[in-house]
Amino acid sequence: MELSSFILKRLILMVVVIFGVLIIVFVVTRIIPADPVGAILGGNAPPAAVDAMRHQLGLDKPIFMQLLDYLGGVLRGNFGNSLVSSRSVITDILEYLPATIELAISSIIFAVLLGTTLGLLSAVFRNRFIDHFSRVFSILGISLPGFWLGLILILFFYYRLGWLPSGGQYDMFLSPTRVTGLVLLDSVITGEWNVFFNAIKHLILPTFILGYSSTASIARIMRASMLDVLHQNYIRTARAKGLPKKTVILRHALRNALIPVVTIIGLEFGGLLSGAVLTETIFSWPGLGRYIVNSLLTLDYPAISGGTIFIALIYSVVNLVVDILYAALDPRMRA
Amino acid sequence: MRKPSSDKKISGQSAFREFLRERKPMLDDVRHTVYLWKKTPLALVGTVIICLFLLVALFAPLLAPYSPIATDLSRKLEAPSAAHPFGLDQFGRDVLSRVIMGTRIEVSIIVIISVISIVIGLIVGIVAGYFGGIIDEILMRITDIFLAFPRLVLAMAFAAALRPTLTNAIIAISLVEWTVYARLARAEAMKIRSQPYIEAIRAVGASNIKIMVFHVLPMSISPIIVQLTMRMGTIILTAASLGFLGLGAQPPLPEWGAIVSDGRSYLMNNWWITAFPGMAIAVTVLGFNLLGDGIRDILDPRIRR
Repeated sequence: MELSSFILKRLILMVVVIFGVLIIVFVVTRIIPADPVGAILGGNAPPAAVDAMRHQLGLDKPIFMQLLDYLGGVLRGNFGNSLVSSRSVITDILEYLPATIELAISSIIFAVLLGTTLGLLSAVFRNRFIDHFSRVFSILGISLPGFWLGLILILFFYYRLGWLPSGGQYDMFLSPTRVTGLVLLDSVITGEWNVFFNAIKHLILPTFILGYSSTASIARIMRASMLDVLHQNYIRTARAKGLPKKTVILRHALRNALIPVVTIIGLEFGGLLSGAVLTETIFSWPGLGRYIVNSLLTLDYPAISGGTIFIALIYSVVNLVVDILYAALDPRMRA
Repeated sequence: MRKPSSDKKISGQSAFREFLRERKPMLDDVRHTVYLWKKTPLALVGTVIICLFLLVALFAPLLAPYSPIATDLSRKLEAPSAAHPFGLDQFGRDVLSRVIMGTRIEVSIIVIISVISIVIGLIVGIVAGYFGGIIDEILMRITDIFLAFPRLVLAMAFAAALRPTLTNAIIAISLVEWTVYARLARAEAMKIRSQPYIEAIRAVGASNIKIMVFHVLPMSISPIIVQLTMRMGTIILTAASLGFLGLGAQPPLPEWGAIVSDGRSYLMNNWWITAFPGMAIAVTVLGFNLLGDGIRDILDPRIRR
């Protein structure tokens, strides 16, 4: 299959899947047993006011019409107004999204750098100390509950040692100028260096907690892939023709060993979005994950549907990009 | 294959020897697996952890020194001591007893979620893979839709919509987990349906349902079991995460994630309420992951050689 027709086929499939996502989210938010009208007006509102509110929210229409209204709204980027902040959900999401992007990017950078380094060292020095260390570090990374480890790190680095803050994106008394919403980038643009360093300090623990399990997966894949490559004939050839070991590993082996790692990075992104929900809750990080948790706990159904659809969209687009990249690299994947 | 006609003539002892001789390849295989198991110390550690976990769950009421829900406000937030190794929580409940009784909740979470998700996954996967064509296309697109969400986010949405309780958290996670098994079962069913013996059975007149239940299902179960051992750690983590977020088991149920969440407000001065149940989650998940890794390695033909 040509790459262009592969991309076209995947895009059509994605439209179908996104339509399904919208239906699932609609069903989920409509079976929420709590009465949204009661949530807005309180329990003792007069029946006339309740009816008026039901009419205003479109809840008196047949369920099929409600579905059409909802789909029409979503296609126009309108998820309705949050029942808690009473602002439009899309405004809320755009305000919370940059914090999640900032955290996700710093975590994935951390995970890729540390994960590939550990995996590489682990394979090159197989069965030596660094290999054992990296394998224990990795198995712990996929086993320790992030929400618990986060609390324990807060206990040590905030309560006991006082080295790092316990949460938030920056200290309360700072009021950085908002340009893009990415605090680090904004503070560089505006030259507010005190904000920049403050934000870095706030980023350390959440980045570690969110990136740890990805680091572990990347290190495991990298180790296996590197061991595979190191046994290939061309590596032996390179060594035999007298190239130093370091050159062979860094120039010949590493580049080939990185290919499977590229895929796993894409897959890890989904885990990262799931993890962001927990990490943001623990570290009071003002991102999309915490927004969704709060809206679920308060049964704020327009916010729930907006948030989950947004997360599913980001996730699907990332997966699509990874698939396309992979198909471009390896024609066998275009089946 | 044993020949039943010759069996009757052989005396008991030689029949046993005959049996051993015929089964030698299989017995060697088992012996080799046990040998590999012993050679993989981490898998052994995992096995020990999981056995301990199951034993604790089995004998929980005998092992727990106090009631997991009896409160004693006069002794609330007491630090760990010889009488209460894990300390007391904000209601004066013994944290160790809560962690021990919690093992039963975790075991039931794993068992119920595994059963539900495997049943749904097998049905969807086998039907899709066996029939192929438009049925396959529809079922796999439905699977894709569930996979379009990050797992935890979808489980959270289901749990909240159904109202947060332990039962609903179990249903919610099952509704997310089945996709793993559906994809596996589909791949197996596609491989099996083109085998000549399936053709033969169909020619004899077996119905599609019969072929799927008696011939495709048994053949596709083993990769599913392997996958299951790898998923169990994740299942506990997801359930604990829901409990922690308040979307799963509710107090006073001693679900580990919910206890960690309980202790969060007392973290600064009373770390034990958070630390110990979290450690229990960590050790159990570690056990399942080590076991899963070990099983994968042992079954991997490249390592088996």
